[in-house]
Amino acid sequence: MSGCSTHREFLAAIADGETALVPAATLDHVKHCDECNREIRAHQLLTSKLRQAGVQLEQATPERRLIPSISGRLRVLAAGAAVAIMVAGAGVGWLVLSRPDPVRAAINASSQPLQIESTDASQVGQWCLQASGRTLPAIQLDGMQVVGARMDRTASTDIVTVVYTAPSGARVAVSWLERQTPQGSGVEERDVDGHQLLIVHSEVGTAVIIGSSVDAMWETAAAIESAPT
Amino acid sequence: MSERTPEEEGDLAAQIVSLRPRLLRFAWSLTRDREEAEDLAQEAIARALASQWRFQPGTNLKAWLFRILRNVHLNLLRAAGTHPVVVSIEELVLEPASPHEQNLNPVEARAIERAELRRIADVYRTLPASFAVPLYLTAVEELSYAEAASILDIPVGTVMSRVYRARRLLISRLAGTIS
Repeated sequence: MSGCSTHREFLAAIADGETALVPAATLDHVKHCDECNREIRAHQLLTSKLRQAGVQLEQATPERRLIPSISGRLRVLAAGAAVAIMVAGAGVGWLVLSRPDPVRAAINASSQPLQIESTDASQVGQWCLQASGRTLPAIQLDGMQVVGARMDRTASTDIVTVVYTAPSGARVAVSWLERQTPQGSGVEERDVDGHQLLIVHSEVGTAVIIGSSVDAMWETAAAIESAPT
Repeated sequence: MSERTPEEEGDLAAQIVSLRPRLLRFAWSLTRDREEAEDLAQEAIARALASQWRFQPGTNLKAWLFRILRNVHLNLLRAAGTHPVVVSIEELVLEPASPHEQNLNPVEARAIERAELRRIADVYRTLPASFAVPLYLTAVEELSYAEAASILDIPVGTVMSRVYRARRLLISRLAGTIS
């Protein structure tokens, strides 16, 4: 049935019985639309299965097992002062790992392999949307070519990194941080652990720019600052 | 004669403590870390027990406890210098459902019907936290959208949008239509 797209975002609310939040036009559309009804039933089935999954939802993921536990360290602390010094060091490392600074996480992400490689900007944009659930701002980068993207999750933020190449061959990685608290607007220049980078706070979001050419990084920052909201 | 539940006893402290497993799961959905989740749940229970007089009888105890836990979590993030996720009323405009998104296709519908619980849990854990948490509160904890909005301190429309997007991501990933 045509016209579903304007109503689709309300289907989950209907499936959950939250009809007071749903426009009357949508409720009316759904009464006569088989496709929307099929999707509502799918949402309900999924909810039912999520409830059944219950405790399984929180079980450890493989990467978690690499991080030492606090209680484990506390037991070691009790064993002796000498060991405690080592464990305290490990504790600092654990805190850094478990609550990473988003900027450092972005630096790390920019050096990791791409998860999608494509010079088609719309394909990369679509992948980013699917992977992160976020629509990335449309930025106009004259002469620069998108080469791919990756998605990283940390304890503090989700990071979507899009990599471009400039006509000069310089590589620029733009890491979009998930909705950070606004810290003013403008471009911030930083040197973090020997990495020269730019942090752009703009109306379209906060991005960390890392690249092999300072000129290309600044051009990218300017494009982000002037991107339409 | 069957044993009486804490609710029947009217013992608020016992009811609070009995909800610890729920608090632990909600804490995990926020932190994705078992140790941090245990600390958070413990702290939330301690604060709830210390301020029982604030709870209004007849309202949802679980939602009240979740709100305390969420506040503890935000305070920890702030203390650690980490900025919490911020959402705004404009979010629905900035982040609408993709106009290219299609209705559920037969492959996706079948994927949900056939999906084992383990597979659903595995895929759920890949969702971004900002989408997974509202879904968790409404789908698993059976809280209303308004209660979830109050706990997360976001507009109810944002909860609706995120629950929808979370389910669509989950469905797509179950169907293997997204790598």
